[in-house]
Amino acid sequence: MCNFEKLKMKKMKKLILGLVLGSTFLLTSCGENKNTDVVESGTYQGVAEGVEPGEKEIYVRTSDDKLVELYFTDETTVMTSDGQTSSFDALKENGKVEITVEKIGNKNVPISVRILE
Amino acid sequence: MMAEIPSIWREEVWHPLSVHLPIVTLLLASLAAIVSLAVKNKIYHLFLQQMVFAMLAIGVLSGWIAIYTGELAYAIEVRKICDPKVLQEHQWWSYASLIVYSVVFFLEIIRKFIVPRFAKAIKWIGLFLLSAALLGLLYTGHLGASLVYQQGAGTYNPSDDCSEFVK
Repeated sequence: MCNFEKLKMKKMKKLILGLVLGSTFLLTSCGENKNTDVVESGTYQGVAEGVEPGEKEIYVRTSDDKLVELYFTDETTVMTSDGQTSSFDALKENGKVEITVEKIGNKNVPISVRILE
Repeated sequence: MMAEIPSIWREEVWHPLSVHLPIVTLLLASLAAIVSLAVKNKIYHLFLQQMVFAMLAIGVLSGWIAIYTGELAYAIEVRKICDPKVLQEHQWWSYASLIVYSVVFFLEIIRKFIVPRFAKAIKWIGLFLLSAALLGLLYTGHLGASLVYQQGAGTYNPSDDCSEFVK
């Protein structure tokens, strides 16, 4: 086998390895693949582990270690700790929040989110 | 107040509009690859191999368009349906299946146009991946059907008296 062919083979192996690794990475990162919980209707305190402005969605880790995924609706209200009306943009990642949710079917619908800090 | 019939071109309907072409072509790509194993006639075999490539090319390209329209529909429907976990699973399996089909497509390009030396190995790897992706595709379709026919995703519920359809 000449040097050129050896070089080509090496490149090919790298390309195939890249494809496999790249697709494995994509597979693990694509879609909404967080293991979330659905809690009973009520009010919970926790930490906003994830805030996704594009989807108007937050992930809240409650004090009893449940991860609740909340998609905001037009009716969802956001308030500051002193009860003033606020907006989704005021929510910060890792900030403390108090959520009031309703369990409908197999999902939680956020009624209100209070920013505690 | 009388209800209005929503537009057929609303954003969440772009997904069903664009998703059926990749379903058919990717399904045919997998089936043609599997059938080609049993075909001994050289001309038929070559035809099936070309068919796999053509179906993959159309399927992968239109598949990523369907993923895009699916993301648009996701943002709307995730707030409406009763069990979003089915939608999230549908989304995950669609990505997984299409990534595998895309890898096979790139391997086919390598085999056809760049390094014919590895033809046999790539062919067998491709066949394995196409079979696995077919299962993923079928499961994705099953979840999609569950979303539409069990949860009514993307559909409109006419009023009880169908008054909006009166002409």
